[in-house]
Amino acid sequence: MTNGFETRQYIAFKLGEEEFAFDIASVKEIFPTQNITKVHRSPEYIEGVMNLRGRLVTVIDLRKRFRLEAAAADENSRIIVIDSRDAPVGFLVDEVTEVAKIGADSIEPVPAYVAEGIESEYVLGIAKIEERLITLVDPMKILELSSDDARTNGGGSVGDSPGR
Amino acid sequence: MSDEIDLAKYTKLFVAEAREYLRTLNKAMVEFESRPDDTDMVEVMFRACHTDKGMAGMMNLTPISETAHALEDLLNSVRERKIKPEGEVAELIYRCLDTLEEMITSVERAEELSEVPGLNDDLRDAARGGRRRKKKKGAAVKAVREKTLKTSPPAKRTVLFIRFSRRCSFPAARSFVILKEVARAATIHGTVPSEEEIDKEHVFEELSITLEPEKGFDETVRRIASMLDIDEIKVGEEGVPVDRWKRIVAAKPSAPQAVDLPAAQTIKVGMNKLDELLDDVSELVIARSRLVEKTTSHDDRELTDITSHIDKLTSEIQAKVLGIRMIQIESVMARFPRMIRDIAKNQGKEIEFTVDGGSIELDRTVIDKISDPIMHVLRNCVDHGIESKKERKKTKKRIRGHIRVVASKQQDHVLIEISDDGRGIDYDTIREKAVDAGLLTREQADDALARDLMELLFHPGFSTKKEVSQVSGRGVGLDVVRRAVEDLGGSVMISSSKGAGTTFSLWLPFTLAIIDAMLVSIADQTYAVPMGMIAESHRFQTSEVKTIRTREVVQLRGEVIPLIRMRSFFGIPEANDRSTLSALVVQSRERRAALAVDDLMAHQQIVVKSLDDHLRRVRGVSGGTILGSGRIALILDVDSILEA
Repeated sequence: MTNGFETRQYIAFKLGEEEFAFDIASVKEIFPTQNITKVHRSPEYIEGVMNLRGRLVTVIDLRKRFRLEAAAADENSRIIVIDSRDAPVGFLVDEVTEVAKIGADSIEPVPAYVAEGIESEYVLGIAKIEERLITLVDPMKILELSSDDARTNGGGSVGDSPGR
Repeated sequence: MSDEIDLAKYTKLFVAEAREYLRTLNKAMVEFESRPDDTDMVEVMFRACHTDKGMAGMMNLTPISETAHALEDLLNSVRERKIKPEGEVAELIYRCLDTLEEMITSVERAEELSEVPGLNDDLRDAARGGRRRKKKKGAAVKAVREKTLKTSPPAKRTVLFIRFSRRCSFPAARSFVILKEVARAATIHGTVPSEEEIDKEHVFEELSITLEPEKGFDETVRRIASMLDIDEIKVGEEGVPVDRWKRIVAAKPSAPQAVDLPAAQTIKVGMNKLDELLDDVSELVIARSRLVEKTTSHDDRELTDITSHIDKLTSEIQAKVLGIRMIQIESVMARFPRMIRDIAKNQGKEIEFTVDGGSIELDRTVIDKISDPIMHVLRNCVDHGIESKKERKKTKKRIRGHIRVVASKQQDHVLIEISDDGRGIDYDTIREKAVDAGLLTREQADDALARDLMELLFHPGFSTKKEVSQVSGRGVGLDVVRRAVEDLGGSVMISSSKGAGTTFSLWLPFTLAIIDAMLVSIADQTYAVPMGMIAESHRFQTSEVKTIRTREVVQLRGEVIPLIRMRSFFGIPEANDRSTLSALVVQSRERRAALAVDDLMAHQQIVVKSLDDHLRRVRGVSGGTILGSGRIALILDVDSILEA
């Protein structure tokens, strides 16, 4: 607690030069990139599936999800696994920078304009720490919107008859 | 033992069993009503009713056992041809079955049970058909019992000995109820078998309780004596030879001999235990393939022997575990005859319902999930399909409509066809509806083909029935049916001809858990193709590939089949330098195609894992599996590939 404001812990990570963070409470595990199996014909932002102790876990490329410039994964890349409502989901990020303690007093509300490509719905606020600006994102919100997408866009089979 | 937990456990068991017997009763009654000469049906009902009564008695659920008893008497009169199960009597039986169902629901919800006033008397009146007979006999028995009980047990350290009849299916549950009774009127010092053993449900036929009787013990012994499934009760003092103990109950007077069911050599196991077992077996199957892979790279004779032994045992265990989970389709069907009868009666229709192939087995998870879809389809048949008696008469059809369920095995699927001989689907009505609902424009509707119109029936909120009825016609149903069946990896098809009826075909997988598959590679990734979909594998020369219009085809023994290159299906560039193509000839229902892959790798059993919401709708893959190496192989969804 600082000055009576609540301080929470966040997992800060980078996508290109920009810094983002998830509330630590929503993060289950962090892995170095391992074998990710590509799923062809899936929505573009889905990197593939990985084997998490016998479960198939979908990995979402957060760069693509935020419509940032694509980049190949390297040794710094990490998969942040979030425990979502029905199944864990992984987010591929460029680099996990730190566990940041951020007080509520240093979080600014979302400005009317937001970083290009990032729908304002995901963004909880912008934290200012010294010279750094960290965008706080709600991973659950990203998932909600992603599944809706997958259902409407990727769901070519919905309207087709199975009987033909 | 902890009372609440145990009671809850047995209550659950009782509710499940009692429901099963009620379904049997309902089904048999509907059949019996249509074929009153079929005395086998009365036997079936009588037996089910008797068992139901016994179980309720065991649980001390007196209102249920009393009503079941009264129904048993009535059925006995029917069996002896004293009365006929028609009209009012039939209605009374149905009313009684409904009441029992309600009571069982109350038990499930742990509500207070109460008798429905008058019902038991009505049943007994109907059973007597005017004569008074049973009552007297019952009273006589009671008198004998009371007389025996006058010789009260001594008031020191006493042993209460109880021998259960062999029919008693859960002596443990019974003992539990008895101990609870006894504890109210005595201090219990010990039991044989011990409470712990009872709790573990060991099979036993005898129970001894060492106790110090208190006030009301006589009454308690009398209550125990009136429970079912007890052959003998003796009360004696510790140390006194057993043959000098007092016998309270010699034999049970009530149950007729004819219904003596053979003691079933079965045990009950919770479904969750089977699920856990299956999970473990799945892990074992994966570990086994890792072991096999590792072994082949070691030149060690002994290791090879051990591995092949483990390999064989794993296969056997797996087959048995999957086998245990299989349930006959019949078990879902049992609840429908009554439902159909009631809806039909309500709508002034007469319908015969038959099931063929009910003995075909499906995995429990599949069975659980198709029950509701089948119910929706059947309701649809009754409501939309079969015409009113008047209408059928006018079109010179048999007055009584027929709904038929036929289950059959097809390759690796089970096909359940549900047909009615009703009015069939009127395409013009669908066209009108579609235009009204704004789903199609007038031109689109006029041009639409039959299969596109059928497709509309699966559209949420679409119903052809003019008015909304209580049964269906709200547009809920067919879309739900399709979703449920597709979630299982199956599909639904409708065919119909106007005036002659409609058939719903549900294609379902036998099991969801472990399947045989061929591993193939496509662009450095491994995929699994279910063996059930594969007709054969074949290597084609690239020169054999021909093009008909824009589609590539190959010939196999004179048959022309489409060629689907999996690389291009997945949007991956083709490898150009190949002179041959490895292909799997796959088949789904009537459609065949050759799937060109990079390589065929191995035949293996795989544990099917589902993909999450983000990937469930992706075409071409239906799930995945984890290989021995820990890598993932996606499972090709042959159905959706063939549709492309």
